[in-house]
Amino acid sequence: MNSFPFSIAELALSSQYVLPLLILLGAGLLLMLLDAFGAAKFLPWVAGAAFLLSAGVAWTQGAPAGRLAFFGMMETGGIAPIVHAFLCLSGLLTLFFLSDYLDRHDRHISDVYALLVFAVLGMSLMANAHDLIMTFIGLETMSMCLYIFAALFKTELKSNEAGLKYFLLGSFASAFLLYGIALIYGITGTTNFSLLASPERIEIIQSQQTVFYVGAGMLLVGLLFKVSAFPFHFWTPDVYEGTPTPLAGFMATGSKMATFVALGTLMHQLDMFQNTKLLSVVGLASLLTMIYGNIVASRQQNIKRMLAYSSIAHSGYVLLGLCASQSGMEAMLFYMFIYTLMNIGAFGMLGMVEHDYPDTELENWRGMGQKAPLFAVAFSLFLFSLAGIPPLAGFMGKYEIFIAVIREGLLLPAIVGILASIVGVYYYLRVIVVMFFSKSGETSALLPSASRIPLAGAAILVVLVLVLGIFPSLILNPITQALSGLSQATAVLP
Amino acid sequence: MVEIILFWLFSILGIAGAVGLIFNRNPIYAALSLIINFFSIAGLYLSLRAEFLAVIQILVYAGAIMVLFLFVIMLLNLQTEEKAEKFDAKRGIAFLFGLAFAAEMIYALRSFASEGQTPLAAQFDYGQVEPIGRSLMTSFLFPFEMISVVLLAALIGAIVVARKHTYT
Amino acid sequence: MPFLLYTGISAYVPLFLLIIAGIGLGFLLANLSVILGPSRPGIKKGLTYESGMDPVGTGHERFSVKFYLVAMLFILFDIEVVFMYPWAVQFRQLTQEFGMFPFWEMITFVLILFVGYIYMYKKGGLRWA
Repeated sequence: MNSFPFSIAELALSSQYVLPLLILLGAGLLLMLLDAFGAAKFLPWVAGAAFLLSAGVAWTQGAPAGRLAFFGMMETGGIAPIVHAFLCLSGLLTLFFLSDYLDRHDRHISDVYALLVFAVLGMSLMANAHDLIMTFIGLETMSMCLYIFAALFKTELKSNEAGLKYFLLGSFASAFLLYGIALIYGITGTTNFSLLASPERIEIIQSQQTVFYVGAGMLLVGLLFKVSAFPFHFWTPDVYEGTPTPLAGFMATGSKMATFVALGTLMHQLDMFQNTKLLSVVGLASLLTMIYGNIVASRQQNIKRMLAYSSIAHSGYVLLGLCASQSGMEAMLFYMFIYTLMNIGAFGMLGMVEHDYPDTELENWRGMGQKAPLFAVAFSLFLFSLAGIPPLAGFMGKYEIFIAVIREGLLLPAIVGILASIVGVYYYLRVIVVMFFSKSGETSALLPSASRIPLAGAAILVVLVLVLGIFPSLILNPITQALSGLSQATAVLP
Repeated sequence: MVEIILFWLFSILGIAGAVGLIFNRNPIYAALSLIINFFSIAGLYLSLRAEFLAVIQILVYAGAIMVLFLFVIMLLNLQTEEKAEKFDAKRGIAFLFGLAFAAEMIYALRSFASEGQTPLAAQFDYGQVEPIGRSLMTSFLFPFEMISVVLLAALIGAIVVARKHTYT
Repeated sequence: MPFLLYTGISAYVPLFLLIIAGIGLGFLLANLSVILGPSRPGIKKGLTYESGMDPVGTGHERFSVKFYLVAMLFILFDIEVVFMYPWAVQFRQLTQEFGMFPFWEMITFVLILFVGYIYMYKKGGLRWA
């Protein structure tokens, strides 16, 4: 009866492996308690310290892939630590802009900090899951927090719309994902990645291909929704518009990175969509996402909506990268890291001036270059980087993606992607033109009236975007190193 | 013999509940006939040997979810619905989809019956409480603990969104 | 399989009989007084408050949203109980194999949610006024 490998030593080891996650869990609980007992002042600092500590612990925990924790539930080796650190970083960077934004809008909602920590925890659970059940629980944790972020300013109509829309559509997508998992479990009898990749299971899958296709397809729908890929993108602009701006930046980066990693694991480690038509479906979706996102973004008059559509377009590039095998995974992680920096930077700076230049309308930004020159220059830097203009980090990200795709022999999709990103240059430059080449004739201040913390955050991001554009290997090398162990990674269950 | 009688009893009650849900003009009556439907489905789960599902069906659906439904009805103060609008294109399409789904279900169930298979849950100990408790405490220990985070996030959400807005 | 205690749906027949008897008794008692008792309706007797104010408006008053908050919180803790139920059923068996470990597992789960309870209480989630 007692055949289960269940010992205290085993559990202690597992807990040690998932220590970065446990730190986040503990920090979230602490934040809730502090919030409940009225210590709202310290919350951003506690959350920031937790993110730093958790990322630091994860970074030092590098191990070859296949180091599983808790009976094959979580992957803690390979890219897992680095992905966790990146996700923590996206939470940390959001914090720089968040509390200032809430203060400025006179909504001191101290509950967000615990939610932010839980959201990152959920993302990490989902990205580093080694079991479909874990993927689902992570996705739900993350989504639950994001729904609340969308509905955070509950007295505002736009926020209500965003919250309701995101919640209804998001739960629908989660249901698809869950149904897909159920079908896969129905034919294979397991949800564990190692077992799913085992020869016996692959044999079963091949004898039941139709059901498996339907299951994997539904899984794909659920994940594509979360990264707002083409047929499932329509919620994105409305939701981002209603979400508090720094949190919208977080939504567009952290949650997408987690979903892309989960998707990449399913695609490459598990071969879930290989040998099937589903891989070409992903490719097609990526092309349509790029084309649609870029074309519609160029017609926007509102900077926040423009950035939302541009985030759809960026999802397209990353999806295309994922279609290229192993090197695509590397390019994807690198790109998402860079994208996290520049997008949180862009959304964060947008949030800094949202109160003074209302509704993020492009019209109101006329002459920003004279009113707040330093701000305008920094914002333009993020836009140039998003557009992929060298020597900024965004260019290196795009370069890695397209090189990986071309190396895979997918020349035509790469050309479509490059053309689409050229369209993208137009609408980023349009904002810069409005900022610098139209007169406003108002008084000038070097910077908008923002407090020190968001300014410091923006400054750090500017430096990072500049430095990583010139020395991409600072991040690329650790990623390559973490990924190199992955090929022999079909791990063994304890 | 008893099983067959109970099967027919629950099936007819379940369908009656569902029909009552659709045709009752008073939303509260509609919600209450949904409870009948929930209970009879729980009975059907029992006959499929999915005991855990049956208990959850009553505990969560007939209990908690139903409370939410009734509260929403009372919160919005829905009155007895007026007579339905005319039969337009949208309803026609919905009707066609419903028919297609019914046809699909009948086809699937017939092919299932002709193969003479027994449901999976009847072959193994799937739906019973003991193996679920066992898995939750052993191999699915970590997901089990992490579910508490989902619940916490939902709790914060309920407080943040539904509480009177006093930004202290 | 040691935990295949199942004997078929027939095992639940007494339960169904109890439910039917409960519903039947309720109906019987509610209608018995109508059948047996004298019934002489009048205008004054039909009023809601015999010599008080005449009632105004419908009987269905609109609910306040704070009740809904309580209902949502109830669901969350109801889900918590859902996880306790299979644990409790299997508890004896599990403790024989793994000692007190299953107990501490559930304590951890409950403690995490207890933090949520404290939070909810301090934030006034249960306050009526």
